Amino acid sequence: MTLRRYVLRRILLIVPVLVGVSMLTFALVSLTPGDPVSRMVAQNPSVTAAEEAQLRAQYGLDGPVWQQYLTWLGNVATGDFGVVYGTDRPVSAVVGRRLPETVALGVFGWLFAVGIAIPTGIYAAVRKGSVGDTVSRVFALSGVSIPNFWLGLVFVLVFVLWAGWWDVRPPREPLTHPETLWHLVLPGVTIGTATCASIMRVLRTSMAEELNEEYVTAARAKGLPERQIVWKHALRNALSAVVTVVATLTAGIVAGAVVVEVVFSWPGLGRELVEAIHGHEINLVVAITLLTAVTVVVCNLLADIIYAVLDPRIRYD
Amino acid sequence: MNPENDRSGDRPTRRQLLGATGSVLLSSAAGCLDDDSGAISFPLSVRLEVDADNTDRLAWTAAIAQVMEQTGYFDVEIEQYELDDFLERIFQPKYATKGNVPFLSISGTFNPESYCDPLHGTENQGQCCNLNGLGYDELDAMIDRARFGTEVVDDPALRARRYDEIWRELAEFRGSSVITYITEEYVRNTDVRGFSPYPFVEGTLEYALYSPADRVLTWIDRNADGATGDEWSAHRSGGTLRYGMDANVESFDPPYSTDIYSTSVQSLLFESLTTLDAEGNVFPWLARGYELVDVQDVDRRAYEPYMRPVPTDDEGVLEFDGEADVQAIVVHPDDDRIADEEVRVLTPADAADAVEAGVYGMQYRYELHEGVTFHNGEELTADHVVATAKRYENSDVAAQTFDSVLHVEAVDEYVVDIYAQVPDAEAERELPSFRIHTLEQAELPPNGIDPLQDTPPIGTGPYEFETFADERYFRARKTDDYWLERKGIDALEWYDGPESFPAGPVIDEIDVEIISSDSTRSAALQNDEIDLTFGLVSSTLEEYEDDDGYVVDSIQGGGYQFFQYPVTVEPWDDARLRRAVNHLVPRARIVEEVLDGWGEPAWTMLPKIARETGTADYEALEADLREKNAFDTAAAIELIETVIDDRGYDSNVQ
Amino acid sequence: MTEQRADRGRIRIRGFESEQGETRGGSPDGAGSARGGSADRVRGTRGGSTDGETSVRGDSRQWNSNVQPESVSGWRRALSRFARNREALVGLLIVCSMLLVSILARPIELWGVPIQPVSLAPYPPSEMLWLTQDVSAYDPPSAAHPMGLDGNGRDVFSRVLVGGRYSISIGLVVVTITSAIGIAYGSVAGYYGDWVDELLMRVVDMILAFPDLVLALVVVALFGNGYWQLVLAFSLFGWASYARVIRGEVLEVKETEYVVAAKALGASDRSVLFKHIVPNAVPPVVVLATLNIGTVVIGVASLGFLGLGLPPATAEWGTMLEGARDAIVQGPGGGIHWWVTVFPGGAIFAFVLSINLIGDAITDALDARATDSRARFERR
Repeated sequence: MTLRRYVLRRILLIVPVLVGVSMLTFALVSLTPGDPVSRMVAQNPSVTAAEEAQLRAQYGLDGPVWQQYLTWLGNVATGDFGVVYGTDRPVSAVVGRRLPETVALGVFGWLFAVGIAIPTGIYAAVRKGSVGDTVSRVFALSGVSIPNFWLGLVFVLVFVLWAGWWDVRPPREPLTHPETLWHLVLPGVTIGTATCASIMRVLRTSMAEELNEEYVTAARAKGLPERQIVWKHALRNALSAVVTVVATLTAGIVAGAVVVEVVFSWPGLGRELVEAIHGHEINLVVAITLLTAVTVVVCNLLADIIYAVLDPRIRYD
Repeated sequence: MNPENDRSGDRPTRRQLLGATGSVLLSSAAGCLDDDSGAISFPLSVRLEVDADNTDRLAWTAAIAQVMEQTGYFDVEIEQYELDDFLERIFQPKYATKGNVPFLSISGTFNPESYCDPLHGTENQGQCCNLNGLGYDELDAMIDRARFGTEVVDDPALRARRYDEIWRELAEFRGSSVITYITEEYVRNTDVRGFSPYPFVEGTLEYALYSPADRVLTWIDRNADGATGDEWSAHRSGGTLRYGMDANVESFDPPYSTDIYSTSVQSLLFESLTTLDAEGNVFPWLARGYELVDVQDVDRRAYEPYMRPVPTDDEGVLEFDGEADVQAIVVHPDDDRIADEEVRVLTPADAADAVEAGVYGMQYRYELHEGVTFHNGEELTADHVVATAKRYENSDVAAQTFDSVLHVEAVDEYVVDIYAQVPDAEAERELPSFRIHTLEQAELPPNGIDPLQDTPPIGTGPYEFETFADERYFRARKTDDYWLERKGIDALEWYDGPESFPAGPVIDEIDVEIISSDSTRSAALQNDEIDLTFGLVSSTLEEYEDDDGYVVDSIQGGGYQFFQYPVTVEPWDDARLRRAVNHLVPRARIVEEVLDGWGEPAWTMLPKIARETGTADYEALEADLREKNAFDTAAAIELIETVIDDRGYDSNVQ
Repeated sequence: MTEQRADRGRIRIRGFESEQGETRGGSPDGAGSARGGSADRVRGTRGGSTDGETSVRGDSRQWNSNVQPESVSGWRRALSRFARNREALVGLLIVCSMLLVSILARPIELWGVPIQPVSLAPYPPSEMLWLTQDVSAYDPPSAAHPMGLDGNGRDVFSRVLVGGRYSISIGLVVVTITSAIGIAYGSVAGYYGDWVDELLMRVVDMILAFPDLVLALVVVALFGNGYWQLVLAFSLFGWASYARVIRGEVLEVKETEYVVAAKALGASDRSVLFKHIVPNAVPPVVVLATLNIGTVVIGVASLGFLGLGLPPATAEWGTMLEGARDAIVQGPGGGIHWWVTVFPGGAIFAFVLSINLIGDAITDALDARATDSRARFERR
């Protein structure tokens, strides 16, 4: 199997998962008491019974469940998640406005996590038992144990209120503006801390193992410089262990966004989700939940592909 | 006339609630309802219910529960709900039979009626806010007689005396206990000068920026070395006011928004025929002047010949034939939407016929200023008023609009008549409340005015819509061509102040920052990211007051915090028990500890702003009622013991 | 060894190994085994035999003994190794004392019968002390109130003590429920293989696509908030990661000779599965479960912080922090009421950190056991 065929197969295989994800989301909607139409009618009592029935037909709610699902899926596939009850605004527009903010936050969190974790993880593995290793171990252990909202609160207290290095409010500039990027630092670090700690732990262990491998011993015996052994050979192999946890970590970042955005008043999807739940905006909840799951599935796919590319020992026949 | 709603936009109107009744929303209200039909015994099980959104309210609910428990006569349980769930739950008519004690707040108006009728009027049960069903006909009649009818329209003193009787009766009957009056504290930095808050949060922005009636003018002075003081004559023009608000602007569509945040922001953009000063006095605004043309002594039955029968469904929703969205202006007072299959209804078309035939309660005539322009250049005419009134039909505010308005009619290009249903002592304030739309926007569907859907709001106000980022910020810019500035302040015929007073607000830009977290808003204020905000944590207010860089303005608003007794459920049907629990409310301590002194214990049901019309002598009233509201555990226990003895209840209380 | 690795192994080992690994019907898209912050740890620290290593060696499957590999001595060795781990003992001490303290914090009555009369907490956690004493909201820590008072004049010390009850018990209940479901589900999938496995694991994939906190939020949105709703929120889908891990283990164990032999001897599916396979596949689940207690405690606290956990006045650690959020900022020149934030937050941190220490130690200990048994086979 060539790499291309493998990738193709892998892409095809997420289709059933996506279908399942949509079914699960739909199941959650269906669990909600009352259908969308009765909720709409509750908001606008002047709707007559006949109009109500017509609305039901229009939304495909008069048929059996599977038919309702298909109608819903059809709408969702075209980006139609219905409207926000309170304002009559299309859900897709609301989500569209918020999405870039959350993506930016997530990417920043990732970059921070990877940027810190890889050098530290390597250092810790190479210098196992050193003071630096101990410090990084304590950091990693604390990083996975600290609730991120609490960490965020502490950051706000220290860096925003005491030190005054950041404004309280996110700037109004577009996301690419340096001011906005600067503002991303605190929430980004908060969201990335747990991920960073996880990567450090995985990397330290796998790297240490790689360095005990026979091929490393052999390379050392051949007199290859240690730097080259560590960076070129061992790291590449050790990283594949990190790639295997990418999906898990992505899910962690997405979940973290919910909390971190609330702490830092960051105008992203996570905060929107919490507000939608408080406001019973079920369409919005569904759209964000579904989007979240699709993101995780896609990242999962990417991780697998990267993994396949990264690991030289995979052979495809 | 609505329960205060701190967060979300849905302040339930009668109509909405009527419609929502029975339909299941996402509700977590899965509480078990112990209707113990068994023997009543003390300690009595009581369930206090409260929404989880207002932490202060939660705190005093818990405090009162603790005091009740400590008497030994009550087993108290507190149940909390999300605000929306809670409102939906308590506004169901059958809630009254559950025997629970709901805690809520109510925000009224300048009208004293708004402090007695919503909580106690039989009509308001299941609608707003007679939660526990006082079916007290005598009281209903008293409330009605204090507002409606030619007697009180003609004689304000009589009206005040009638209200005094109501307050005294309510203190005896004790259907609800009032805890504190609502006060609002605004904190600003010293760059903001001249600011003066309005008794209602939703009116503050408009009022503080520019109110010629009270000579109130807010300006920005970024020079730290500038003169201090709030005297308007020291004002300078220009600048940006950064206003921190704790909730989103849900809507820019006046008749489709009832929350104070949306209303507050809309007041920059839209104007009405009249305006109010801080005491509730009415002044013509878009109208050059107005007069009461005619009063006829009619009641709502007078419209019977013009009404048409309309079937209703089980939930009391009117089922108009084929045509959607018909406003029911008047439902025949002898008909019952829920019990009857069919009710007699006066529709807008019928109302026009009635007016045509000379049947109406009052006729007010408004003469508009000529040359008032909207932000798009359109000129205001009587047609705009008529079109706007039409858009208010079946809107979210239809209930509070069409409880008094009968019909709106253009007389000529600049003259418009508004008719009231019955002689109404409040008509002057209540009738002209429409926020006037452009003709084009008056045709829009519900929620149609929405900048996020490319229909930014257009009004006649001094500020124009500029940008809105949902849940983040809103910016309005001073319009280049404000009609009053063009005409000069003399165009306000009632204005008798100095001519140098500006003819419009002087701040160039209003920048509203939406920051829901109180602590973040406080931090933003200290970090000089906003200039002015309200609703900060009360324990921090003193620190602001002590600091030279900030000013705290506190104002008592038109509302109070209360809880209601389940008067129809034994043993709460005994007024003595209700009076006893009322003695267990430590009002002064609550203000001191929960509100850190930033509040006012409520000894009567009448907030300051309604005392002008709502009582003949407030001092005397408070002196009479204060005793009945005193925190007095011994008195409470004595009353409870009497109830136990009289009614022969079991008691295991030592 | 997680299912993940089995998968990776499958792709990788091709060409190095017999088709044996291929017939397992492993999930080809199996990235993301367990979720939360724990999966990585399961894998990372147990990496004594990461895929790379095994496939390079080409000797990935050492389980060729006809002796049941999980011998009693293996467990004993693991235990003694655990006992020698000082960090783990500190963690265990902290967890146990927090557990004990939360039980002893206030008397417990069941149906009116007192079963735990001790009351370590000086005040009832929800009592507003300003009603009965001469104190005010936000009084700082003092001798009478070692952790100060919160914004409602309640004793923070008492609340922190009692608070453990909610967080810890939800953690334990959820882990018990989810691991039980997960073990059953995963074993069935792994043992029967083929389309059963395929179908069951697709469902797991689907669930794992949703971040657990998001699912919990949605569940709370549907069913409201409260103790049992929280349990439901974390249990409803929380079992999926266990299912995945146990399936991976079962896949490995079932190929061992003693299982094959047991089957050949005519043992029923059920007895093979639960007598031979599951007990051997349990170690990674123990690790996962331990770490998961921490994840759930943080999850419950996060929901509490978002105002979607327990009712606002509840003395649950996360819920206490929600109330403290508005208190962290003071007016100009005002002191910060740090005690309202630091103590409940510190309690969560200490508990989860201890759990993680224990989890790490268990991992190490089990690795030692596994390494040891492998060594034995290799020797043989």
